[in-house]
Amino acid sequence: MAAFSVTVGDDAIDAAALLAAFGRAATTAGAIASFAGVARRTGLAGESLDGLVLTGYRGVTLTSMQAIMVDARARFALDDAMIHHRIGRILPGETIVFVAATAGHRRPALEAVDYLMDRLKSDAVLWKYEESGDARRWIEPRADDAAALERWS
Amino acid sequence: MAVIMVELCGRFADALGPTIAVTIPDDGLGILALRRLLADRQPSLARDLLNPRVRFCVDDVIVPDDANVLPGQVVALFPPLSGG
Repeated sequence: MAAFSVTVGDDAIDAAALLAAFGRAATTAGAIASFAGVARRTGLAGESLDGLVLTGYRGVTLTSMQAIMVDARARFALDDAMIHHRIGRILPGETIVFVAATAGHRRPALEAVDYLMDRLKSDAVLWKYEESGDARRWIEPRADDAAALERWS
Repeated sequence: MAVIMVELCGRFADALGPTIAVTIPDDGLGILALRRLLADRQPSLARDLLNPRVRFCVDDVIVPDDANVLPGQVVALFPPLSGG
């Protein structure tokens, strides 16, 4: 049976375990694609980062991601898909977000993962900043994030 | 007239605290007018409030500029979103 899940939480994400469980459940798929976003160890200026902090807003963060999933289901011929997004303080090297999709063939699975990530970057109700020593730097969408999103319009 | 508390999110809350009190008419105020009112109240926000990626959320729904805010509604101001 097809399964489409969206999860937001502050627990650590084990991307390998999520992918293994997702793959076991995807009994009809001919293709499984996935992506894991990981907290960086260095900032734009090469500074060492101590962490990444993500904040959301009430239930709106989850509903914004559910809306992205609904759009992905309408757009691609998927059997299953998953978004698992972490919030709170994330240490360098830890997983921020895990996205996976299954389909009968590789193209919709790969494209759906790409699409889900582009949409999450620009439309998920989240904000984040990097910590380096006592400094924090808020991260906002860049021009290439907007260009990536434009590909799907 | 009625006072509403506009919740600030992300870097806005970092810079200005969690809320800004705004007085609106009893029959409500348009989002565009609310943008202008907040820009007058907080000059440091003025440039951001011109950015269409800076959006308002009313009762847990992101709304367009032609929406209306009524007394008693929960209003939040979102900086540009940045997930993933």
